[in-house]
Amino acid sequence: MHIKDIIIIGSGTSGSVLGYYLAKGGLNVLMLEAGREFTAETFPPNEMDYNSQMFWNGGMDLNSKATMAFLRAKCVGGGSVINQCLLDRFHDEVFEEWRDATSLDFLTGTEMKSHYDEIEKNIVLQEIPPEHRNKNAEIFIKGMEIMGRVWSPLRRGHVDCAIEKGNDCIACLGGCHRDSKQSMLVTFLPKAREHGLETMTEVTVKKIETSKEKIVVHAVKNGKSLQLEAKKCVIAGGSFGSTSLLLASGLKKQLPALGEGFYCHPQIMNFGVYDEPIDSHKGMFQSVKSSDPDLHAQGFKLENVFAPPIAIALLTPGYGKQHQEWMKKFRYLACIEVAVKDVGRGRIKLDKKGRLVVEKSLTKEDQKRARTGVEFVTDIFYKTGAKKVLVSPFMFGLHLMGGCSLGSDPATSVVNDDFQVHGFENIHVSDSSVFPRAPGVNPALTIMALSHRASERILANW
Amino acid sequence: MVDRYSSKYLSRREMKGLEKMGEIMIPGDETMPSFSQTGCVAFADDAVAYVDPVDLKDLKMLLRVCGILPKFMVRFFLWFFDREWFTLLRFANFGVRGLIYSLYYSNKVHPEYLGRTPHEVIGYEIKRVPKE
Repeated sequence: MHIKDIIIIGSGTSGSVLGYYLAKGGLNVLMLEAGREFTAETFPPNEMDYNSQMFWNGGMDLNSKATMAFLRAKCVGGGSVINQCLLDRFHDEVFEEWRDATSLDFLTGTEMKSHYDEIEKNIVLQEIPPEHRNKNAEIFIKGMEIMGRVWSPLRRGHVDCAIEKGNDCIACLGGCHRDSKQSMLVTFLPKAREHGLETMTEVTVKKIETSKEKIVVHAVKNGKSLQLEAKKCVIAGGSFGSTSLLLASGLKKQLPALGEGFYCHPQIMNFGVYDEPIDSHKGMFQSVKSSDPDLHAQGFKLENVFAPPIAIALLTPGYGKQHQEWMKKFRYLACIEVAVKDVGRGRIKLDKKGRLVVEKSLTKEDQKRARTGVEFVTDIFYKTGAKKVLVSPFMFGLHLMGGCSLGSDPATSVVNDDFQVHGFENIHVSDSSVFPRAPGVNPALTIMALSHRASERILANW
Repeated sequence: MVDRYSSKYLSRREMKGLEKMGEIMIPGDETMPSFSQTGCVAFADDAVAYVDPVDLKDLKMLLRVCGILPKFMVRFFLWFFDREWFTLLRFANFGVRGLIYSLYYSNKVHPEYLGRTPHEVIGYEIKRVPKE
């Protein structure tokens, strides 16, 4: 059997970027993905169908106390297919925090600039223009201005969402049927394939074994065991995927920090009920954010947002008549999310049967940040005419980060500045799992930038 | 006629248990169809096909019990789950709500149901402008 130069495990925001640069760099690359490959023509249009077919475990994972839900994509292109493609660079202060935590000198805004620049050359990025804002966004802006706070338009990867023709972007939470959203499916992945990247889908990797000469990937496809060999591998399965794979491969003993330090920007959805229809689901349903330094310093950020009916039903409390009355107000709801820059270090581990266990709760500081954010949003709603405010009792995490932290010390981190797992020269990790702390900023662009850097380091050391 | 209780993953009794719970969670009123009126239970396989096998086993047991118990007992079960006093209840509550709300708000209705769909009632209408 021909041995590949490198196997990339995961095809998402990180894996596809790695696939492009490594294949372009002349390596013989195979990329493995646990999910299926969808296209603009085959994305399931129904919310229930895309939840079950495009996410792990038929929709969501829960933390060990079932107080928080986590959403993670299971499809070619990963999170980039089902997120809103909101792409911000990190502020210098985030890198300062990371540098303090890791003792790695490359984590500076200056050093990362070339990586951000390179990634942005491959993506169409636009600030969402005023004419594309819906009524929910207008409420957000009005409220921020009444409160004397700074807001700004979101920066999004998209080409032509046809908002002026009446297109509703909420549909693209299950994949963009217009190929407008700049997911991996329309950016890095096709380019990687042009350079010879091979992909295998619906392959679940169970563990990896390593020796000096090669790595062996043990996987299952269509119920059959599979062994694949390569000189090196890069694990890019996201916080849960990469961490659990290294744990399943028995590396915890050598790497005490493996699985430690999980963050997720816990999100709390807040709804204002108005007398007139808001239609938060129409048009560009997410377009503005808080950019006030004082709010950032208080440890949270705000965005106007909404969700389709199943998600809204799950976010509202109770059942029966109470539930029905809430859902009948669907068109009258404005919604702002509070995303907390969490400081509490969660933990990812496996139970005796090898199933994922996520220990994550809010510390007192996290709770204070959440409470301050919710109180602020409640004020926005009442000051802009809401008759009632509902704070969802359910928290969820979309930005799953940490578990394989970057760092120079093998006692407190998992990967070094070459994105190599400490003590394992031919295993690399590059994705959100290497984040040493929660940044408080949408992470996707930095995941890509770090992956560009990882590909440079791998090629330089080849 | 399409048998709404036919499923590849759930037994007939489990399907009836699911509908019984759905009927308590979404009883309907003069404007909103109830869970059972829409016949959405017929699409249960679309939701459970991708559920983790261990979770599916637990779900099947719960549905089987609800299929046997009288409605007032199932109502008590749901009331108890919704209190979320401890972890197991929270897991159960999340699972039950996830399945029932997914089915109902998927807007998939049985061919025999001719009334207003859940999306029509709540006013969820979206437009997908095709790419040129």
